[in-house]
Amino acid sequence: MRSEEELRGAMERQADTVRRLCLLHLKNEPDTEDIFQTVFLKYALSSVRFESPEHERAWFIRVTLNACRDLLRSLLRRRTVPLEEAWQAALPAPEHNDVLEAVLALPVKYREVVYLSYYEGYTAPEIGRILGKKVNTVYTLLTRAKGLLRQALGGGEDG
Amino acid sequence: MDDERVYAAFDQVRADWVLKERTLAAVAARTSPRARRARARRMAAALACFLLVLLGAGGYLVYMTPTAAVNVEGDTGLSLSVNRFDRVIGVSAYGGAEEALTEGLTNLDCASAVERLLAEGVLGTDEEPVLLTVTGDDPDQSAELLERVSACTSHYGNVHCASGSSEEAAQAQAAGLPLGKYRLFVELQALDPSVTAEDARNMTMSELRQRLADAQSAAGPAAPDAAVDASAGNGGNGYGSGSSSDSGSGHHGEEHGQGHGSGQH
Repeated sequence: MRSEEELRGAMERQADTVRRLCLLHLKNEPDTEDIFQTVFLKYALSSVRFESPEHERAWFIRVTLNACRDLLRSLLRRRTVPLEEAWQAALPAPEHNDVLEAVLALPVKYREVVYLSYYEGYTAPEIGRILGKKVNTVYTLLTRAKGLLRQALGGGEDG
Repeated sequence: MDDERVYAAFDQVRADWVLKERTLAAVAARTSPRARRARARRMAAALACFLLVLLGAGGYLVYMTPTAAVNVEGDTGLSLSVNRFDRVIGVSAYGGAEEALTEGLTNLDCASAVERLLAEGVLGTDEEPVLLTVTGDDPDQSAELLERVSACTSHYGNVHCASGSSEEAAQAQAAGLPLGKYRLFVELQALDPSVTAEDARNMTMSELRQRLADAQSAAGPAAPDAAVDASAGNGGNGYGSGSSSDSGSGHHGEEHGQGHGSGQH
């Protein structure tokens, strides 16, 4: 089991990543808090030794995505919450709300690849490994996601 | 679309310190030695409960599994299902036996249940002897049960005890007759093949005995069971009287004891 210092260090390094992944999937703060506890408890109990910061980040991304999917599966059985209402609660500062709204309005399979590609900077093969999808599928998802975002935001051709 | 706008939009999403602190506190609470001890205690308690339930269910199953039966037949009849602890776990009445007879017998020691039935004097009379037949798959249990039942009925002059095999009990059940009656029927049928199980069902034990005595008389002294004193109620079908229990019918069904002597030892 990891020490409190290790846990605090990981919290400082990875909390924002976990928070952003929660934003892609979850609809409210209590669920986000559930995921945080699940992910960091797993980390605290895990004996995995990370070879690099990238390795650690990829571990947190995978564990968070799995935890979110598990939670969503259980939530689907329990209750439903209007999506718009939930997004409003989860949205950050208003400056880039239109962009975030456009991303969050995409189907979840597009949201994930957009985040991993645009923000985390992963390549298509890396995204494929993280999400367990074929590289060609990732390319297709990325292309479609960019098209949908372009439509939504009315942006330029560089997407 | 501007990639930087997407990056900037995500970049402003941060985990606030309240969320971080609450998570750290929750994780610490669940990984502290005390929490782990409490979890271990809960696990141990759950395991103990599970084992207890398992033990209870297993014990109940063992207790409720019949391993022997005691048929008590007089004017009317009763069958007591007995478990491996010689406790009565089921009572079925037939031949017009009053349901009230069966009340209070469940969970009694088998010998006590038999004694109670006989003490109430409702099953037999001096003219209508009571036949007690112990059947079971376990020869040791059957023999012991027969001994105990015989001992507790020794002071009743009109009670005759014998043991039978499960196979024989099954045959009797298939014929729709209590075991004692079935034995008389088989004996009678050997002398008079026209008699059917249906006929035997419609006869009382006295009538059946009388028919058997008549058939034996008609068959003459050459008949192997001619010497049987059917009126005594213990003739030739393996029933001994009182404590001198007769297990001549065998526990394994090789011989059923019909017509092999008076049964009184």
